[in-house]
Amino acid sequence: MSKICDRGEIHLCDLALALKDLPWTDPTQAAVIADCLGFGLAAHPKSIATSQGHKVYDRRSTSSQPAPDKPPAREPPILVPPTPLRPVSLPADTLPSRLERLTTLAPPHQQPPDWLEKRNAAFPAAPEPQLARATLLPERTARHVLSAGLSMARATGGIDLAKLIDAVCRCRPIRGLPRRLEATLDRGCQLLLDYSTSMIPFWEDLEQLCAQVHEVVGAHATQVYSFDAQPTQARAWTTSGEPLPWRPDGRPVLAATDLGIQGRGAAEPSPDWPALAEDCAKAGSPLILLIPWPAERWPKTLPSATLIHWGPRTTAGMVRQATRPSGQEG
Amino acid sequence: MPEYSPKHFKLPDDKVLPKDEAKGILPYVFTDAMAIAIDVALATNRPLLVSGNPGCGKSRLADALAELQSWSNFSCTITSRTRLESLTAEVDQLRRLNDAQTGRLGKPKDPADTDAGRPDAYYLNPGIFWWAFDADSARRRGLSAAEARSHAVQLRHPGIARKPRRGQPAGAVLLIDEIDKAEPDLPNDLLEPLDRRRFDLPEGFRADRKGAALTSIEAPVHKDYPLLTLITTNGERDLPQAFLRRCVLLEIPDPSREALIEIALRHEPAGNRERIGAIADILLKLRDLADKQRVRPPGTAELLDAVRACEKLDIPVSDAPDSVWSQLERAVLAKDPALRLRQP
Repeated sequence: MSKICDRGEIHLCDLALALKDLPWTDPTQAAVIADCLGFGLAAHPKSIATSQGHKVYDRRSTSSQPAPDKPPAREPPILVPPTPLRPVSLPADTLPSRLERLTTLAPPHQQPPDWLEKRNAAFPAAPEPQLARATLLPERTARHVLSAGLSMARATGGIDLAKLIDAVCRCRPIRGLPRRLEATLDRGCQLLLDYSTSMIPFWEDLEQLCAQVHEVVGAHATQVYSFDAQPTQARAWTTSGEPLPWRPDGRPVLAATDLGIQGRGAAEPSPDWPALAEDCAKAGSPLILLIPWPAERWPKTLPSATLIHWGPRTTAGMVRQATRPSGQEG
Repeated sequence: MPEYSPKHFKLPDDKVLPKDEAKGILPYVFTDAMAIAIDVALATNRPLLVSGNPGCGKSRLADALAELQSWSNFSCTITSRTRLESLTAEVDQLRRLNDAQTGRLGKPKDPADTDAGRPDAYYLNPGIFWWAFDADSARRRGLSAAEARSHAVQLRHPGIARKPRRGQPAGAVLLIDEIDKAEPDLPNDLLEPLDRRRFDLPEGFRADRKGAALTSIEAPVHKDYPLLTLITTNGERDLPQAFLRRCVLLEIPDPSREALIEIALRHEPAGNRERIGAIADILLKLRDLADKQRVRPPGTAELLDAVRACEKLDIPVSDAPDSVWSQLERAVLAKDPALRLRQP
């Protein structure tokens, strides 16, 4: 068990090992042990918690700056339906009544009744405000995540002194100055957007992703293609409305898709994906798949590509880890 | 909570590392939370990430534990320029180039006992992880014993080497201080050395271990060589989640008035208790003020400085604005101008 616990992140095995091994005598001590391993309610101490901003010692901030006030009590939302009126108690006896044919079909009141006006007042005349939508790739991380995923290494940096000296010391002929690898986005990218029905919940995110890639890579260097379930049939559209079939050209290919799994864990991806991965490999284009479902739901057979969870908690570090060649895993 | 008796390290009954002036050992007061966190880190073989306000005793915890266990002690303070190579193994390229120019460089297959050439590993500078994982190999820069003798390679131990107690395995405490000062990528780079207690040497370099040429340095298994890596942070920068999820967490809270007095009396056993109490009161007031002013609060380390100065120079605590104490207070406790201006 300890061999398993030595690897990766802290998990239940570590907690079980600690609770089995350590001489705790009281539930409070067991709770402290769990806290240390991140299993308690206060999993991360205040000073290293990442969800809250850290306390910053800033000399410029003085007491003259107003302390952040408590947020005002929330007003009821505008679209709250009116409170239903209390039911009127009906008389016990049935009153006499008779039916009469109306001569005209005009409404009995030309003006809407007051009570209707009053109820409608709850609905503002102005159009409803656009509510903020949680996006799969928030603005604060989008640039870093996309840069990490789409950058390609090129030997255009400064002279790699270590390699140069190594070559001199080993008496190897120097045929060219070794240069440091630099990550660059100047090759641009091809963006493949999956507009199949299973991706309907993410169509807005696809549009936003397109805008984000344009911002990071540049519109001039980004070619956007769309497809419906079959990625090899992806098309771009010229200004004259002509379809332009997708062909890999050595640039990174970023495909936003759910692989057709519709969030079901056991589903298998469309057979078109391995063909797409093969085309990309032949052309030397790195293939990156952004999948809106977490890794637990990904199909077991996956195309040979870099798979990244397209979610708000995805960070540039995770992308770098995923795009790193398998031999360099840390 | 009842008192906790740790299993993986020995703690005196009063939970205090006693002061020993002859050996230059400062006292350290352990709490139950510290004892549990250290025990958990040793039981699970995970690094211990210690957070808390500056001056609360995060870094001293490593020294105190190493002293208590008679384990070797290694430490390294992280800066924004610290890279993984400087913590594991770095090639001294300049010396290597110089030797190539002067013809002192050895070919890889030169016999080890000739003085003509220096082998590749001669140019490896061991970092703190190498020392903590395999101090013997680091001392020889990864050369074999014969090569090290031949080339007069015998590096100095960068920390404090201690002999293990009889019947106990040799252990080590590795302190990585102020990880929050590092560039954002460094904590992720440390995952492998911390997780697997192993790191790779620079490409093309080998280290000798019992006649085998190894491309990586690895620590012995935990039961034969207990190694506690203690990492401190002041919380000035976010640490990656992947890094946090691999660490046992300990937050050292600010000590209470009674705890401050006890700590001060452990450091200055002959100190005036009343005066120490008065200094502790002032420290607590300044902490409240610092909290309101959003400046760094004075810590236990500052309290100890004030107590030592008062004891050595016999300075009474006074409210008078021009007193010696007021000067001392400004110099030691209220270092931030915001604390001086607003002080009542």
